Amino acid sequence: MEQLFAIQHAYLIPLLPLIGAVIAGFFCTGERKTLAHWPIWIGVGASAILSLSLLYGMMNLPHVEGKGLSYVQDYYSWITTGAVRLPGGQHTFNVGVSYLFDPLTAVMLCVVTGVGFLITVFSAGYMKGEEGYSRFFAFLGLFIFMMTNLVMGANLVMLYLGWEGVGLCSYLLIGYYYEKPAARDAAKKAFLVNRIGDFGFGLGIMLTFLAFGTVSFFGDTQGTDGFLNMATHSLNAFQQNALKWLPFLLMLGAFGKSAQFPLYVWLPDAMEGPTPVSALIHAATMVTAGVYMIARCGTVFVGNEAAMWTIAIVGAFTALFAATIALRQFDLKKVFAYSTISQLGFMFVGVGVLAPVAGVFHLVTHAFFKALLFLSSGVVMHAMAGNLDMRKMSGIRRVLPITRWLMLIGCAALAGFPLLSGFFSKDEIVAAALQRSTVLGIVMLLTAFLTAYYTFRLYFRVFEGPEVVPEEPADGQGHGHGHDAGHEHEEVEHGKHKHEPMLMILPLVVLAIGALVGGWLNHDEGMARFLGQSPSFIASARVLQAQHELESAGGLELAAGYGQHVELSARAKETTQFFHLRVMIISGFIALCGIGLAYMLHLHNRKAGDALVARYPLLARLLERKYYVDEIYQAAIVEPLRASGRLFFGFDNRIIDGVVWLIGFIPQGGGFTVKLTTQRGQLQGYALTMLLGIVVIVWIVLCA
Amino acid sequence: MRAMLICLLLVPLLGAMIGTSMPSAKASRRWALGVSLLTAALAGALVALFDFGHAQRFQFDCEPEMFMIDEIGFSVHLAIDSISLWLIVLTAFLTPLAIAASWESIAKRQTEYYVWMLVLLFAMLGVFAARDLLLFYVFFELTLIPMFFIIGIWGGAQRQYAALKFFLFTFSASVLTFAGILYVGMYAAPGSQPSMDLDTVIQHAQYGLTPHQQLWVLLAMLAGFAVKIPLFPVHTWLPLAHTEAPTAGSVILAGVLLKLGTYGMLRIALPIGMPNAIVYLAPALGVLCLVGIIYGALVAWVQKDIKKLVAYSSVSHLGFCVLGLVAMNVVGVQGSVLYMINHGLSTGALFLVVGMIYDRYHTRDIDQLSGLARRMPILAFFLVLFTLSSIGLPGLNGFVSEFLTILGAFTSTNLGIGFGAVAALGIILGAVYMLHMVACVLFGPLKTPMDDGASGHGHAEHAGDGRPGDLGGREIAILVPLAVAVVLLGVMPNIILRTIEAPVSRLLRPSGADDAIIRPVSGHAAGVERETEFVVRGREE
Repeated sequence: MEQLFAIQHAYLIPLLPLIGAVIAGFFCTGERKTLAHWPIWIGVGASAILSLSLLYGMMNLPHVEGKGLSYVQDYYSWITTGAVRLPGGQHTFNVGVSYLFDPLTAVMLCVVTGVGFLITVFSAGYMKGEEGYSRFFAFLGLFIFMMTNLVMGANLVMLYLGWEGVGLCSYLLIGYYYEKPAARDAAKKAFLVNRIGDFGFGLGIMLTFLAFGTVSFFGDTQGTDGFLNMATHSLNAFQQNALKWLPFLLMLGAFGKSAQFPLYVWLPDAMEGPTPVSALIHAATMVTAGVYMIARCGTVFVGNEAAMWTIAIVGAFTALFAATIALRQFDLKKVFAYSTISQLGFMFVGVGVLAPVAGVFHLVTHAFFKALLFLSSGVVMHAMAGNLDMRKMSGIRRVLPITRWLMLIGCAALAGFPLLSGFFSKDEIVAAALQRSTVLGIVMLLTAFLTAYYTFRLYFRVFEGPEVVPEEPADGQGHGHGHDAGHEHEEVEHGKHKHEPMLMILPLVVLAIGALVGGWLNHDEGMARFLGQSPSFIASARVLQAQHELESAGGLELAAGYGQHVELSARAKETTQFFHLRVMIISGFIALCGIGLAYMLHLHNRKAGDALVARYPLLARLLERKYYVDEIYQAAIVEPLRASGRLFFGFDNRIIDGVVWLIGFIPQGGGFTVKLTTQRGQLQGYALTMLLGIVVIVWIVLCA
Repeated sequence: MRAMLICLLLVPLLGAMIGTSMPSAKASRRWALGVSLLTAALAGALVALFDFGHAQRFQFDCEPEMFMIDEIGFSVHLAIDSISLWLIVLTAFLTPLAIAASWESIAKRQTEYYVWMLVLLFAMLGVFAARDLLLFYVFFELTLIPMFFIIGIWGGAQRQYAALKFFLFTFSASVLTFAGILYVGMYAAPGSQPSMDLDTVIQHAQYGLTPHQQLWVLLAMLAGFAVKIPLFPVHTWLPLAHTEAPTAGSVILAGVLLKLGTYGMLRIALPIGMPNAIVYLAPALGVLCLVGIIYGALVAWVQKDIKKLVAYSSVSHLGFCVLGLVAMNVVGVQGSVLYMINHGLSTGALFLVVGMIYDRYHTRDIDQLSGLARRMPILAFFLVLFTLSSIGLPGLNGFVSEFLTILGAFTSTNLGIGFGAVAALGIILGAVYMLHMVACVLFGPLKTPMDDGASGHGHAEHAGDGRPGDLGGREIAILVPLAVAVVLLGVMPNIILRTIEAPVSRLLRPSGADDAIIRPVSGHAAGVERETEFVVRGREE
């Protein structure tokens, strides 16, 4: 594997976008600001080419059954400490800047740099004339750097580096229009909610080290072993105990980054960022990091039934919950944001029901069609003077003829219209869920129905029907996203409306092709078999089989969810195929029903749709206000913490100083004055307070 | 070679003496900057000449006979290992920046001010170089005097009260430290010659004291260090002192003076308390650290004054630093030493940036400032960078030390998983208050007290319209070295970690066992027992 060109020069994949970011950020100032997209185009484009060649090279390598494809490259040691005594012996905490290359990484890299490149191209058109043009591109480059580190990192700390790094870029880009209080607050919220998840992730890293003495996934080039390998061997008692908790700690991080309940609240607000950012970071790449992490660390998860069920149930609940909120949102980007949360829930279900290959497959197709949808709504916003409210526009298919088709493709893929990409990937998850539990499967089918409905509600409302184009630009407090200024500037320049510039449409066409045919990536289980050669999936399947051999003979089929080749009898094969066909037909039918219902209520007879809402005002209000979750968090978490901060500050000022004052006063009154004070005032009492405090501490310690 | 340390100390001392007779204010500040830069160059030379292959060995050893007082065992003994070396480098690095930051914001009695800065530099370097307990104490206390004047004369409105509070708090507590020092130096080894030599004293304390005596000596020592650090609940002098001190004072106070407490704890209190008393006290100290981390963060969050916010953040941060120390394992203590350096860099830098905002708008009120990024993008860049360093973003310096101190507590036999888990909450809260500050001051609609057209003030760069503009060349030149250091230590923390591993391991061993082999010493079975106990307990969990 090391002979591949892309592997020999793999350091360039993260490095080129970083160099681009530095050039764009520090050198494209003043007059050169308008050139800021060039370093990023070149950097991200080159790393996309390298990633694709890596993927291609890996697919053509001869593969050895059960051995897997992986290669670790160490660059330098980042954090090295002396040895600590752990339950399992003396270990040093050693973190290298090392990259791991396997099929999972290759697929993720292609998504990140590929979609990333298309979006940088789009952004050059979309962000034209913006004041912070170079800042925007510098942050995009930094994001790609961090995200590639995330998916290439060969140990938990490198993953954490990328993890927090993309969180930073997300923070900076959500807050791109930093003068808008809404953008500023959304940025802060995103960072802090993610930090709650990172708290779990961080502790997970420490627990991993405590239990295994290493944080490396599969060891390094020096021949040490990694914890994902160790977890497949026999474990000592401490490790077994640790594995009861470790998945839950890591999971918390994944829920934060991938916006799952209860940590999803930051993602809808994140739409305050410019639309390309929403497409790249908050739909296609960063938010899928949680799915990647659980797939990567599968070995420590699969042995823990409770953890896997938690992931599946949280995913299913989030999928349904977010889909219901999406039913009553009016802002295009908000609909897609909730839809993203919902689709991420699908991916978690896939991972949770022991079918991570299906989860990753959905991740890939979702990256295509969701990026397409976001960017298309960006075009809409560009043309509609910053308006995104579907109540203010209707039937704009003639204004934006190309975008209309692109949007239709994206919507159909998201809705799971038969034979489009979303159909195949969603179907695999639903089938896997049905196999695990009927209830779970039905919840997923219900969610799929709602998805089809809300997606086409949006499409029919905005693009079909009588033409209504909003005249006045959106006000700053709404969803102007600060874009009106740039837009007007462009109008003056071109002298006429040019709603669909080529720079913006071309990347969309590529994405649309992906959304149309992406489903065939897994034709004949091709992608599954490729991913199955990832050491993560091989090791996970091994753990699973070892576990199930003890209980029943079912372990063999479970390995299929990990892309492992499974020899089945002809009869079993037939049953499986029949089952899959049935699920396909059902889910295709359900998608069509959803689209049909949306057609009835939002195109054929809009009055009926409005009347339906009017009949259940309370429910509609509950959905519009997103179940009041933000308000609940504010009242239950933020305010009490702030209040306790104020309380402590008062305590600092009054009580501690007051006690000091009092203690300073007592000796004065009590005749100790000569001994303790040589000056007047209360300050001399501090020494005594301290003495007393120490006496109290000693007393407590001695008596404990 | 041997004279290097003497030179390092003499340069600022002589510089201060000569500085008193400078003809003009301008000359005195140039002189001070020159002297501090020369000191920094000498510190750089120390790094170049230091033998990192034997980093645990005390090098540049120097003990002039003329200063020996045999009756009490005192001598001017200077020598450094790599821990001291890096702290000296930190001190010598921050002082010129602090002096440059005072360039225009100190307007009165300048000659005096710069002399005090050089005296302060001398005293701080002395603390880190001292190998004699009494000498250490003398330098430790000597730092109080210049800082007292810097706060009391050049500080803000409440400067005199703040200076007094600062002085009395730290001084009265270190009297207890002094008592402990005298006790252990004079009486620890009855029969033998009294000695203040650090190694001898530590050996006396470890072998000659009963556990009970050891505990009391340790408590006396900790009293002074805890106030200096400052640990909860004796931290109340710090916010006031920081708020009132001039920018340079705050930079040095947070950057170096607080580290004198943790350094003393690391160098003196921990070894003296080994292997019994410290293990006994560690959980109690750990709880104080945890309370400090959470308490400091929550209080920082509700501050209206940016400087006070950063000051309270120090209370929270130093909690991490001490937590790593009392973890008493290599990871924790290495992390803690790195934390001292990183906190000095990023908090020092934050105080500098806050000072630059204050120079322009004469307010630090979070309600009066908003959206400064629009007016000052360069300042915004630096403030965001140092904020990220402070909240421990991986890739910048703060992350490594924060992570290692928590990991130290997590894997410690004295503390354990619970301590690590609570400390990790500080990761969340640290981001809460810092991003709150950034959001309020840098982002949002532009609002400053100057925007009603009040005339500009003498010492800030001006934009064309008379309003204060972005950072000037001098200010950028002050912040760039810090920014470089913040990134460098984030990407390559091993520059420091690797070199301090040997001395840290040496510190954590009973002083009889000086070399690579850990010799279990009879009569100290307690420590060994505890560790085996942990293994058993760990399995049961």
